[in-house]
Amino acid sequence: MKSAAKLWRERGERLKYAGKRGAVVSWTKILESPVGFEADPYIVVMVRVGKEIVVGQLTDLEEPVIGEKVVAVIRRLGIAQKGEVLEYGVKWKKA
Amino acid sequence: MRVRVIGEYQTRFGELWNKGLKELVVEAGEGALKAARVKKQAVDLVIVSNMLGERFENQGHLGAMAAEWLGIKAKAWRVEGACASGGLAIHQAVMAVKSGMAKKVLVVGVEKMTDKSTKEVTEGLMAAASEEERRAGLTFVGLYALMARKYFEEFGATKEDLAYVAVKNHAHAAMNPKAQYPFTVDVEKALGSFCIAEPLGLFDCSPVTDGAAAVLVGSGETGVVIAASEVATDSPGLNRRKSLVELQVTKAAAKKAYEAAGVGIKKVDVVEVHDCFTIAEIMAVEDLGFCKKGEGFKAIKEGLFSFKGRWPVNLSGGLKACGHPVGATGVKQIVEISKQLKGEAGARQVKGAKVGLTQNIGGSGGTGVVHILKGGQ
Amino acid sequence: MINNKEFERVGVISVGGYVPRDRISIKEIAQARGKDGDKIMASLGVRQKAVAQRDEDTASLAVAAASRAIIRKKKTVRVDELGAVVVGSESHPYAVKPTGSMVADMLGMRGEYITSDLEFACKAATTGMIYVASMIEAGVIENGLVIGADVAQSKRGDVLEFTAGAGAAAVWLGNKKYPWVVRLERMNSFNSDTPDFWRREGEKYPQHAGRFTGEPAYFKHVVEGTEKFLKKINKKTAEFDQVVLHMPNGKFPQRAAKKLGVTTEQLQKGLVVEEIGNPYSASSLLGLVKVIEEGKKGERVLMTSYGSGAGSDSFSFEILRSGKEDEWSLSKQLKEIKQLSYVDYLNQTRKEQQ
Repeated sequence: MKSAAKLWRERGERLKYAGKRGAVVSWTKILESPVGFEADPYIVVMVRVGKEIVVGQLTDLEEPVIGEKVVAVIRRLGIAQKGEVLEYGVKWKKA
Repeated sequence: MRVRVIGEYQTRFGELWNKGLKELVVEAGEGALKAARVKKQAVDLVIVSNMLGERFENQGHLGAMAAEWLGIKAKAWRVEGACASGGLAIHQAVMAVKSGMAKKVLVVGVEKMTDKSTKEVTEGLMAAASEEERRAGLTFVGLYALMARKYFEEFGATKEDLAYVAVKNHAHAAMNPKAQYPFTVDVEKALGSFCIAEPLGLFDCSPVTDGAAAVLVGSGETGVVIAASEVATDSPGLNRRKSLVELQVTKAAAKKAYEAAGVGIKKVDVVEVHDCFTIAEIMAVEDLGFCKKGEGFKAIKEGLFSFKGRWPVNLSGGLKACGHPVGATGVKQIVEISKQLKGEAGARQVKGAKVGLTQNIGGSGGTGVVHILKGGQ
Repeated sequence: MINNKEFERVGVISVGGYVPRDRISIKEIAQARGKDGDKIMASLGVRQKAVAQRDEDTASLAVAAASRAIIRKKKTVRVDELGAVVVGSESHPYAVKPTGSMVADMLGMRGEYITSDLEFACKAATTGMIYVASMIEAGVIENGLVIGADVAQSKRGDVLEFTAGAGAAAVWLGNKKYPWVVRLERMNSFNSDTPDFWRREGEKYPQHAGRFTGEPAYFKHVVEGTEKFLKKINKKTAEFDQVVLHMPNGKFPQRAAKKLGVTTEQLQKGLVVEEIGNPYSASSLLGLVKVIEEGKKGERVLMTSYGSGAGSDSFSFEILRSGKEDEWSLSKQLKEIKQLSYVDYLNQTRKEQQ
């Protein structure tokens, strides 16, 4: 079970890029997910935001192309297990 | 002082339902000592390499545990560096012998992965990544898939090009009785497999494997010489590294290793690289200098790295076909090269092999370990 | 008894609406159920409903709507001046842990502000407006954010499945210190204990009492509530340019309008239900947001919300500034949509268990 204290402490980091715009550097579609994530496929993108590169999920299953513009929105991250505190963070939406 | 691999042993790699950590450690450790013709009492340091035991079985303190299992009364501890743990353990053994603080170091790499479900293993392996990558729902396959996609875009490679790596390594594994998958596959079969994380499919990925490998490291007159043992570290997070299509740790460690051993690629006769995924081998042969960046996939297709090629790579079958018990791999690579340089590699023996190289990687490139071994010295 | 008080210090600084991009048509659901889609569409007066993505919930919708209200005024108001954040919903992510403070935190607001979550079926947020407006009027705070947000759940095969949608609307109220787009004039509330629609603690889906949800529930509170309000403030429906009523479907507000003597022209602008279904606590507020975004200076607006259980809140507004279309306008969100198949819809709305 995820630690409530850790989730609280790291929330600034999870929400850091909210509202920011970036461009896709690379992407993949995950078909075998780890514990705590959706069973369905989802797309993970590497996004260049200013001088940094970050990783996060795409809000869609429509495959992006390298260089595509995206914007960060706040969404629920992962699937909460019974009794767990909910995790909110940033995902990337095609702009 | 020359540090040598005095004896070496690898267990069968595969789904070993009847063997747990203890059985694997004992088989490998005793096997290496037997090959070295050295008694247990002579061992004064045991270094264990293992990534997932603490997480999967709540067994920390594995060094002391292994010493007890082996019945060896010596100082003992565990080394950690994700999938590079094995290479790091060898490196530490070299350090111990060179410093004079140990004389005979038994290095045992071991991993027990098949007790857990695929999902649990997928999650467990992500311990080698960063928090940001875990939070994004990435998997190990996903990380290398991100690299593969960029590689495709930059150098024009395709999914089909990746398949040739799997085909080659399976062909080699067919000559290795200890391999998990000792059979050949063709390109069609490799391409027809399930997609795990686009663009990588099942046959681009090393399997989930149980196994152990052990070597006895010491100074003295017998055994293959460890001519270079170099380590490089980089950011464990893929997004914070300089490039998506090369591993800085391989380049940095290799550069130091070639210098330390006084050899260049021309002198290298046989190689074991860390093909956790097919794309990893392509980048490895480039980063090690065997061909230019972006040419690796073509060179593999042309047979440059096959059994009869200029630089045979992964004759054990590599991680893909021999198997990848994470903590054992780095040690197994040393076992394989050592056998090659001693002329004991059987059907897959490279004639007259004198210099061998191993490349062991942790995570998606946070740690890199390169060893160069020389025989007949 | 509620005083007939005219607000002197409360106006709307900004509004924002967020409707998820995906839609499923009534026809598509009906087909999967082996029913006649055309007939159901006609009887409900709804064409399609909005469907949230699996990683969207009331809090993320609320933040999306609120950010839009805030970003529209980022040059004139700072988020750390926020005096209150109130989220009304039927689908708060936690039974115990306020959505309000999560939303405030995500908007960058810390420390000294007033918040607690509200629940009153579909009128939770509009009652929130009464509370926040009163606090502003009394001088306790200078401004406050009111958000109605819901990701509505409905049982498969239940008639609610055709209309239970998702969405969020944010109304940022403030005192005279801020430039207003709308002036809040008066309000009233009319409540009772009427069991038309309910969900017990711990249960996954709501229950409803069939036809009982009509006359004794929705119509009684919306019609009588509005009539009592108008009588109090001495106005007639004809004096309003725009009328927004709670929209559980397309038919109910039109029937209520008829009973009140409200014309189709007055009702049309805010009647978002046909295109997005019923986003519960965001229903009437999204209608209000649309009316404001597309409003003309001088227009008078009448709004009556409805919450099962039951009750209605009524408000009168005057639009002070004509609206201008921008990238966040509801008019855009009603057009930039994606149709789902029933299978996609099932995937997106199933509750993931671990």
